[in-house]
Amino acid sequence: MRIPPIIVMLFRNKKFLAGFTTLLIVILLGVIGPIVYPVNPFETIGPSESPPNSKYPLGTDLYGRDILAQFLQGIRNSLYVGFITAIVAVAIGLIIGTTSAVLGGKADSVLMGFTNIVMAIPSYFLALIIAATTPVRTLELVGLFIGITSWPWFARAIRAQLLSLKEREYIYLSRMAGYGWLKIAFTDLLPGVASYTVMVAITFMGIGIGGEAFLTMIGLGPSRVSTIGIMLFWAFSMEAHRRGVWWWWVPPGMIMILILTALYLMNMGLDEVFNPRLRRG
Amino acid sequence: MVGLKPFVESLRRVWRFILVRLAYLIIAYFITITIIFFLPRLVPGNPIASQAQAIIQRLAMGALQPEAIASAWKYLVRMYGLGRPLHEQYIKFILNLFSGNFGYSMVYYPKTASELIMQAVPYSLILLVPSTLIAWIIGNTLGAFATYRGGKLESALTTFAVIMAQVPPYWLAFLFVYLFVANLKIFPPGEAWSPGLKPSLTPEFILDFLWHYTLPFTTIVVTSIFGWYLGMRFICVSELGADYIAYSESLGVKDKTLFRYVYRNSLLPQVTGLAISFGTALAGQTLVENIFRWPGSGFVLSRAIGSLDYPVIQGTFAVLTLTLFTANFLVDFIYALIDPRIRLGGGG
Repeated sequence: MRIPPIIVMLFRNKKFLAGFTTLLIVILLGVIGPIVYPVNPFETIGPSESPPNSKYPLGTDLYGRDILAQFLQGIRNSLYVGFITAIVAVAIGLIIGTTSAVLGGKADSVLMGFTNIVMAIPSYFLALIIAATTPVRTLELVGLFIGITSWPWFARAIRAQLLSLKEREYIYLSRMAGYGWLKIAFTDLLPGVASYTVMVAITFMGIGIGGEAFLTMIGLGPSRVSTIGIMLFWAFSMEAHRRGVWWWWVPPGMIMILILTALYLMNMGLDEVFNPRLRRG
Repeated sequence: MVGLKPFVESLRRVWRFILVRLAYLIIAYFITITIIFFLPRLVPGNPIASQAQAIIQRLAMGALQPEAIASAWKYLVRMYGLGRPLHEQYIKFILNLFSGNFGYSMVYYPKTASELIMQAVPYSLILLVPSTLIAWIIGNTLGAFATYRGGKLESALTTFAVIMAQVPPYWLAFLFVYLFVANLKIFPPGEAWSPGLKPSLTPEFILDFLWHYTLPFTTIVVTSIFGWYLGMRFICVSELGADYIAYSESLGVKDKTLFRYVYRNSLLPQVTGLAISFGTALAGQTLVENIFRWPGSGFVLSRAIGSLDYPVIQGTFAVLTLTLFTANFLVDFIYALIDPRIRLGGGG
C-alpha cells in the first residue's frame, strides 16, 4: 500500500510530529497505565498526604488514596471526554453547516438563524446550566454537554467554505452530469473541507478537556470517576495549594498543559502542510 | 457632485444589518432567560419551594413574631409565584427580571440576589478590565514585534507562547498561592483587603488593596498575553502574504512603513476580540476569583452554584448574558460602520 504524499509531508513536519508523538505517549499512559499500575484510585491505601516516595510514586491525597492511580485513570477519562466532545461538536457542525450550504434558501436562513442564536448564548453558561440540572453526570454526558454547546462557529465556517466551493467549475460539471446534491456533497464538497475538519476536531478535543476541568472545578463534573478536572477539584476543595501539598495539583495541571500543547502543535503542523502559504523553508 | 442616493442606500444597508443582529441577540436573550427560568423547575422536588420553606424555618428559629413569619411567607410565595400555573410564574419572572428583581438569596436571606450581584460587579470590573487591556497591549505588541524581527527570537518566543497559552488561569493561581502565599508568605491569602480595614481613599487602604490585587491581576495578565501573541502573529504572517504587500515591496516601500500597514490591518480582528473579552469580563474568571477569594461576580456565581442558590444563579446569568450581548452588539455596530462590505452590500 502506498502512503499518500501529503501524509508523508505531514510526518516530516516537525511541529506535527512533536505534537503527535507527545499525544501518543499520553494516550498510552492513559490506556496502558491503569493496567500496568492496577491500584484502586478511590481506596485508602496509605497515610494521609504522603509526599511522593518509592511506595507511592506520586504520593497520596488527604484520604490516603494513591495519586498516581488517580492520575493515570484521570488521563484516560479526560481524553475520553475530549474525544466525545470532538465527535459531537464536529457531527453537529458538519450536518448543520453542510445542509445549510447545500440547500440554501429558507433552510439556510432557518439553520443559520438557529446557529447564530446558539452562538450568542455563551457556551459555558449553557453547559453549566445543563450540567446543574443533571444530578448524575457520566463522562459521556459531560462530553456531550460541552459538545452541544460549542459547535456553532464551526457550522458557520463549514457553511462559508462550502459556499465558495459550490461555485467551483467541477461542481458545475457534476451538476451537468446530473448528480444529486447529496452525492455532490459527499463526493465533491466534503473532501474539500476534510483537512479543516480534522484541525477543528483537534481543537474541539482540547475544548472538551479544558471544559471538563472547568465544569468540574465549579462543582459540576462527572460523578464517581477520576479525571484531570476531578483531581484539581479535590485539591482545590481541600486547599492543597494553601498547605504545600504540591503533588496533588501539579501532575494534573502539567499533563493538561502537555496535552493542550501537543494538540496545538499538531494543528500548527497541519496548518503549515495544508495551507502552503504558511509553509516555510 | 456625488448623489445622495448611494449614501441613503448604504445607510439603509447598515440599518438593516444592525436590526437583524439586534433581533438575533434579543431572541437569544429570551431563550437564555427561559432556560434560566426552567432550570430549577426541572430539578426534581422544586428546589425553589423547598428553599423558601427553609428560609421560613430559619426565621422561625430566631425570635421573630409569628405575624412577621406569616408575612414573610406570604411575600416569598408572591415573589416566586408558588402554587400558580407555570406560565404565570414565567411571566412574573420576566417582569421581575426587567425591573432588576431576582428575588431573595436563599442562602444570605434577607439579602436580595441583586444586592449580592451589584456588590460584586465593581470588584470584577476593577480586576478584569485593566488586566485584559494590559495583556492585550503587551500580547499584540510582542506578537507584531516578533513577526517583524523574525529569526531565532521569533521562534523561541513562539515556542514559549504556545506552551504558556495552554496554562489554565486557575492552575497558575494555584501555583501563585503555593509559592507566594503558602511558602514565601509575601502576599495575603485572599480577598480584596485586610479584615481590619474599612474601604476608604486613604493611602493605607489603597496600598493594602493593591497588595491583595497583585496576584489575581498577574495571574490573568500572564495567562492571557500569549493567546493575543499567537493570534497577532498568525494574522501578521497571513497579512504579510497579501497581494498589496508584494505590490508595495515592488514599489520599494520601506520595510518599516510596510510593517506599519500590516500592523494596522492586523489589529482590527484583535480589537473585536478585545471587545468580546470585555463582554465576558464579568464572568470570565470565575475560578481565579474563587481561588483568590476575590469578592467579584464570578465568586458569587460559583458560591451560588455550590449551594444551589437559584435566585442568585439566575440573577448572575441574566446580568452576565446581558453585558456579553451588549458587547457583542457594540462590536457588530462598529463593524457595520467601518466594514465597507456591509456598507456597500455584497460579501458576508
